[in-house]
Order: sequence, then structure tokens, then C-alpha cells
Amino acid sequence: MSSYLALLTREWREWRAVLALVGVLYVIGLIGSAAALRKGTEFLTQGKDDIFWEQELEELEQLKREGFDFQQRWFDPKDIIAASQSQLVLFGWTHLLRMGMSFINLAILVLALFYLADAVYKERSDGSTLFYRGLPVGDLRILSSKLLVGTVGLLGVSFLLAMGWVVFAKVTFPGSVAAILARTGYSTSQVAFGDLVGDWAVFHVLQLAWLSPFAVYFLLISAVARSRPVLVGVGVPLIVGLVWRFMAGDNALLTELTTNFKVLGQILVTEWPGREPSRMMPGQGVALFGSFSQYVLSLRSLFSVLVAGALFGVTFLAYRKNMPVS
Amino acid sequence: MDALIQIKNVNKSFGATQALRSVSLDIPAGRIVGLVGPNGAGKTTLLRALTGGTDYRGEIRVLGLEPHRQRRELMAYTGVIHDVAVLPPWMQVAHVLDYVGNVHPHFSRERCQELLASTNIGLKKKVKQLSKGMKTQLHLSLVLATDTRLLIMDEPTHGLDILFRKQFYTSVLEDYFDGDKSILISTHQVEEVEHILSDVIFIREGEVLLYTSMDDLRETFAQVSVSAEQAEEVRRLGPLTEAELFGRKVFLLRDVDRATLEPLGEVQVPSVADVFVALMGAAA
Repeated sequence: MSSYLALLTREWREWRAVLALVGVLYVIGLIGSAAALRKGTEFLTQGKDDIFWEQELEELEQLKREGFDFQQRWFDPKDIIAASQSQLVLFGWTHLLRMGMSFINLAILVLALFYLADAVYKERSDGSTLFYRGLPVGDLRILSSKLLVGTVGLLGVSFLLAMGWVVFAKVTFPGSVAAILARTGYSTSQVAFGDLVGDWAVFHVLQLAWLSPFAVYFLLISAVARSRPVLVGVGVPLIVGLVWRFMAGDNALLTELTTNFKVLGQILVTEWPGREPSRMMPGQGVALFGSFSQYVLSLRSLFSVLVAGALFGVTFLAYRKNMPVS
Repeated sequence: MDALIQIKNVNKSFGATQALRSVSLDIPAGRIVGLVGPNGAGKTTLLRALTGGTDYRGEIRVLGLEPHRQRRELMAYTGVIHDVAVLPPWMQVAHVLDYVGNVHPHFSRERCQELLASTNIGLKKKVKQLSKGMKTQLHLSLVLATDTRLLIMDEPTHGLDILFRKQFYTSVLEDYFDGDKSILISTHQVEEVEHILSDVIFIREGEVLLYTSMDDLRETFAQVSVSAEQAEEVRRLGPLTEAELFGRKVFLLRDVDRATLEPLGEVQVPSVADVFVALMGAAA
């Protein structure tokens, strides 16, 4: 085994309990979602919730009896109900996919923050940094292995869990609901799963580039903080931003510091509306997330990677100083 | 021949505290050197500087390498045991062996397992489940199973019982030292290691007070026990210390010919601890 692989194995062994916990929470989430999906399905297909649709149909039939010409407006009242149900099903289906994948991603980003803030701090606080430094492994290798795990590794976990979510959503989506879609010519297979996987992978690459300065920043905090690195890492920019606001009278610094996060969120939101179920037509394929590749090769990516590189240099120097913890 | 460790005018400060003051030493190969000093003398800082664990001002070469810049290369030929338990507490013993085996080109897992076989340390146990003695034993086994040219130990038996301490140094002598390798040990319990030392360094407040071979130390310092009537005569020779023991006066002297002392009373070779205490008192 190469020494670099040994470093990665060490990280895996140290943090696998946390990942196992994430796995357990993930499975609980899947079970909860399956239960919620079942309840939602009941609303559309059976039991007392039918009354809602019956009342809707009754009202539409009443309108028809009163002379409202549905034929001229395309649909029969029964078709309107079927179309409404299909729209609702597609809305639930697509949002189940997108929200689930986004939530998993957000949760893993929070985990990455904790990991990176603790990665060096933990070995400084338990003294094991002296053991690692007593072996012929360079500081650059040790640091880069931690950064690799906290960025590529955890984003990889985010992507894999999202794919698991997609499979789960496909498998657990009830056949009875699919039958409702079939009545109006809609289908869950209208979601272009190839594009969905590809788009989400590209989004992760985009995150890797744009969030790299934040990742390295927390690694730096991990190498210099004397206690509570997460609190220090979050608190320092917040306090500096507030002091700036007090001195300069605007939020420019905080806005600047959080720009990449905001833009990432905006991209997601911008790409979504054109792909809402209300705009989907029967038989028409749709890529739920849209394309993110246009953002990858951008000045923002270049700038982010350069800032991350500079911060990594500072982190390397700080790590070599082996600062004590309190 | 080039010294194994060359230290020239090394200084290190932590804020306002100066931990090392113009330290200069040349330590040749094939020696067992004791680094002796009170708490806060700068022993740990010096050893960390030698092993690349901290930066410093001045020049250090260990095995011809600059430790802070070339730590990785240096550690391929240097074993280190620290004063505190530094093995990762979350790791299983077997995983510690895996890790060292995968990153160290001169580590023998078989040899390490042989050494561990005579202990109660199970491979499946986590480091945090081991007692302090077992952790030290594990660390020692890792170091002894690694083919290095230099072993640096910082208070390796600190906090351990006397039986373990004796066993520890016996292992180091029998399983590591072969005359070509070198050992640098910092310790408080100098009386436990003085029989294995070839050289000794006294350090106080970051300054080296004495660096000498044990042979020279025995030549340079003498302890003489005299009656009260002859005490004044010894005082005129400028003793470092004076004490009273069973009604006799005991003096420790430096650079005084034995032929001068023998007519006055019983002359003995002082222990390293006695010389250390005398020099610390003189420097205070």
C-alpha cells in the first residue's frame, strides 16, 4: 500500500463511525420518506381522501350542468381531475427527488465543515500529531490527505447518497400512483435520469471549485485554533463582518464572504422553474436540475481555486509550526 | 568525522519566554547522550527542534538534514518517543502497526509483533484501552522494530513504575543500541540512566551548562568527605557544594586534582545527579 493510501485509510478508520452514523440516519430518512410517500399516495388513491376529489368532480359537474362548456376549453371535468391529479403526482415526485438530493448535499456540507475544522485540531489536542510527525510522511501529504477526504471524499459521499435516493424514489414510488399518471399520458420515466445523475455530478464539481476556499479556511482554523475550531471558524468571519458593518456602515464584507454560497443556491433555484411539472407535457422528457457545466469553467471557479491555493499555503505553514492547543 | 547532530547558536522563543538560548552542540555517532534539566529548562523544545516538530532560529543538522525542512527524510532514519502518550487513542493496535508499516520503509511488522508477543498488548485493543505503561511499551516496540540510526526519547518513562523503567532501558540497550546507533534521552530520573550514558548535557533556562562525556565528568568532578577540622582547607579550593552527612562535611569540587584531595579525606566519584544539583545551584 502506498503511503498516501495509508493516510487515506487512516482518515477512513478514524471517521468511519461518523459515516456509519450518517448511514443510519440516511436509512431512517429513507424509511420515514417511504412512510410519508405512502400517506401521500393514500391522499390520491384511496380512503376518505377520495371525498376531496369527488367533491372537486361534483363541483365541476355542477358547472357543466349550469352550461359551462368544458369541451371548448379542452377537457371534460373527469379529464380535469385526472390532469390535476397527475400534476400533483409529478410535483410530488420531482420535488421528492430534488429536495431529497439537495438535503443530502446540504447535510454532507455541514458534516464536511465539522470534519475539516476537526481534522488537524483533533490530532493537535490528543498529541498524536507528534506520533504522525515522528514518521517519514511529509506535512504536505498529511494536510492534503485531510483536505482530499473533506472535499472530494465527502462530496463523493453526497453524490453516492443522492444516487441511492434516486434509486429509492424510483423503487418506492407506488404503482397505483403511476396508474394515475398513465391515465393522462404522463409517466415518471419522463424524468431524464441520465441527465439527473450527470447534472448532479457536475453540480458537485462546481461545489468542489467554489467551496474550496471555505474548505481550506476551516482546515486552517483546525491548524491554528486553540479551542472549539468550529465556533472559531464560524465566529471569526461573523465578528469581522459585524465590525466592518459597524465601521463602514454596510454589509459588504459579509456579503463578499458568503457570495459563493449564495450564487450556488441561486443557480439551483434559477435552473428549477423551467422544469416545473406544471410546464411538463405528456411524453416530454425533462432534466430536473438543468445544466451546471456552463458555470464550471468560469472566472469564479478560477478565483475560488486560486484563493483556496493561497489559503492552503498559509495552512501548510501553520501546520508546520505545530501550534499548541489550550 | 561529521557529528551526527550539529547545533549552532539555536534560539527559540514562545512569546516573551525564551526556551532556547544560543544552544550549540556537536554530538558524534555511536553515543548515548543524556539531556538533563529541570522542568521548563528547554529539553522538550530542543528535542522537538531536533525532530522537526518546531521551528527555531539558528542551524541544526541531524544526520546531515535540516529537521524542520527535511523532517520526512530525517524520520526515515530517526526513531522518536515523546514524554506524553502520543499514539492516536482511537486506533487499534493492529491499525497502528498497519499505518507505520505502510509509511515507514524500515519498519518490520514481524519484529514488532515478536516484541509485542511478550506483552499483554492485544492487537485488537484500541490504544485508549491501554495503560500508560502499555502505551509506552507499544511505542517502544514500534521504534525497536524500525531500523533507524538515531533514537530520540523525551522523558520516555515519565509516570511509569520503577520495574517498568528498568525494563524499558534494558530493552533499549539490548534491542536497539549496537555501538553504531546513537541515542539521545532527556530524563528527570538521571540516576536510572547514568549507567548507560556515554555523554551528558545539562540544560537550564534554555542554556547548555555542561556537555561532557561521562569519563570526563568523572575526571572533572570529585566528591570529598572530610572531618569538620579539614573543612576549611577544602573550602579554600572553591567547592561547588557543601553538605553535612553523619557528622562529616561533604564537598563537590570541579577541576581539582585528586592528589590534592586524597590527603584531606575520602574521595569519591560523584553521581550525575550530584553534579547536576551542584551545577544548577551554582548557576542560579
